[in-house]
Amino acid sequence: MKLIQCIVHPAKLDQLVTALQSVTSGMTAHEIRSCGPGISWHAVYRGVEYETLLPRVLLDIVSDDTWVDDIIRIVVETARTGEANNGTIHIMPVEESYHVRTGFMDQ
Amino acid sequence: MTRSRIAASLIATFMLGALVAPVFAQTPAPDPAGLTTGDKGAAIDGGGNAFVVSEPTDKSAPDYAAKLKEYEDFKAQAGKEPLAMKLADTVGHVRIGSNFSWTLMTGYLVLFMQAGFALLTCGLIRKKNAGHLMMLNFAAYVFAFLAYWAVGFAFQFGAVAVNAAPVNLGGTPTLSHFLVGSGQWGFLGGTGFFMSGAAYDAGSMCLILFEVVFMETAGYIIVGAICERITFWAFLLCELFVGAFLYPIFGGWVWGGGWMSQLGSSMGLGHGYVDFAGSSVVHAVGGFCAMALAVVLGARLGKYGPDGKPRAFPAHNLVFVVSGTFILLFGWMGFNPGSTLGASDLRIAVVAVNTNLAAVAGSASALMIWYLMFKKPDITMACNGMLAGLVAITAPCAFVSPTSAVVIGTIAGVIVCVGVLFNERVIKVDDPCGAISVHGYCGWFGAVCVGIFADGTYGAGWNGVGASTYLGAAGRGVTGLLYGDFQQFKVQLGGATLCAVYAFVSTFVVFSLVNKVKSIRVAPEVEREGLDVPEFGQLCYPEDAYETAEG
Repeated sequence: MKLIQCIVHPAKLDQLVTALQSVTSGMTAHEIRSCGPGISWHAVYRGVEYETLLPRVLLDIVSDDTWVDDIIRIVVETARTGEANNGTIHIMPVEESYHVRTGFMDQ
Repeated sequence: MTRSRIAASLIATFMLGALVAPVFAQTPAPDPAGLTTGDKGAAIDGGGNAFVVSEPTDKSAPDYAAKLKEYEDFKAQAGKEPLAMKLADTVGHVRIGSNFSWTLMTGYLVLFMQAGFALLTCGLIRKKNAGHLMMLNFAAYVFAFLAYWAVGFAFQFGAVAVNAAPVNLGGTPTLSHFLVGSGQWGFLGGTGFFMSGAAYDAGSMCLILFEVVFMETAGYIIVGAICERITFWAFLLCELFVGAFLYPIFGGWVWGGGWMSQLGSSMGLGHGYVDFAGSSVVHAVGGFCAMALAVVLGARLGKYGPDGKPRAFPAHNLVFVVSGTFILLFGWMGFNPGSTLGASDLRIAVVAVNTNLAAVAGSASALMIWYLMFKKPDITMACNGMLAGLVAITAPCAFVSPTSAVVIGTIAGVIVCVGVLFNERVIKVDDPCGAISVHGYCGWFGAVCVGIFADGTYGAGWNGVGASTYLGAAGRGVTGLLYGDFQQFKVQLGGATLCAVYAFVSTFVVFSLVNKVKSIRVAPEVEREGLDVPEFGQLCYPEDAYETAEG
């Protein structure tokens, strides 16, 4: 089992949720702010300048190893616009998982 | 007048409390039911000529013979037409009635400004302190009102009938005794404590409703500069101080027939110190009081980096800021035009237009300056600019032309921008909402503007000066530097500066002492986490997900 964490643009969330439906059983979205090299806003408030992070969406998807490649492919195809700062995908191993209602997880 | 004598009088006032009012009750009895307020004596035409011709008393006057003939003609005519005299009573009563409804209605508009201030200041601060700020705005109204009820109104208007009777409201003849001073040198009013006795009168009550909301404006101006770090108990002390002493004392000098208003007749300084609706009396007093408190409190944690450079604490809700500003603009349509205390004074239309013009001019100039300086127009500065224009036009609104109103507003928009940058970068007084710049600096400027831009078309006989002729012309009113009255400019410049010094120094002294006894600022850890829960136990924006379990 793997945890796939995708940081994507909020404008792509809708399409992603639809596109991922066939390969996942659910996902969790977080509203986050992020920055990267050359990616932040140069803001000014009442004459004082400061840097501010950009709003992004963090998607958590837990999946069987067999589906991971498909999920990565779908996310990359759907969330890509070709510009810089399209987001990132991270894959981590998941040791165990349970449903709160039943106390165990069907494989 | 020494400070100790004033202090002794204040203490005596507190001890005597309500007993004072009946002791000084004068011959005209109060009229709580409003049955006799407004009779034929109040039947006055547009030019200010009374229907009832009074008997001339000064036999040495050059026009005595003509006046006496006029009086005798009137008496003969009145004897023949008793019905006309009866009708004149009705006309006078209706005139006072229409003035009452105007004054009360505009008072309600000013009251609504409280909501505008709450929204504006709340929007401008960080959301971790939003609940605390809303409580400050709320408590300001409640506690300052009670302080004004107990002593504030009496100090300010207890002797208004002596020199500045509000004839549009029937003259309030019962408010006629100075506690400190007398004649043209009144320093503190002395009737109407607890809004009873001499003040329990329909005309006085109308004046009270209108004036108490003005005091509240000064009371909540200070919130904008002291929020995000003041303790609640210290804030309550501030409000009691403003409502009972700081605001009413200066207000009495200018509006209560006190010594500043009489400088025209007593020292030949134009029409005396003139502040139509309170650029200095309300706004500069509030603004410089706020400045003193901000100095005593110090800057918010983290406002200045280790290098001493200011950091941005961005506004948390621009929707609040803009809607609050427009509520204030709407309320100002009561603040300025209402200050005629009567709809029978048709200058209200000019006042309303001037007020709006200065508001948009101030907003435009602040916005454009910011656009040019920082390449991005700042909505919060545009809102501050609108308020700056409003504050600056408040004193001169009745005395200037629409063109002058635009000029005044435009300059005020510049002042507010320079003031915000000056406070933040040069003297490093932390003012989260720009209250010092908007109300203090622009308030001072507005009062001076009367002495520059007043064009003489309005205010003949103001403060008892030039009722028949002024500067050699009949019907000439308050006149500024540009229209040939240097004396008016002198008294405006001196009076506005005195106002700023008075408000700053007295607040600074009082609250430096209070701060020595017990710090008026919250602990650093409270400030870091936000004041909402440590001070009041509740968040303005509680988490959606954090609810009590159902089972």
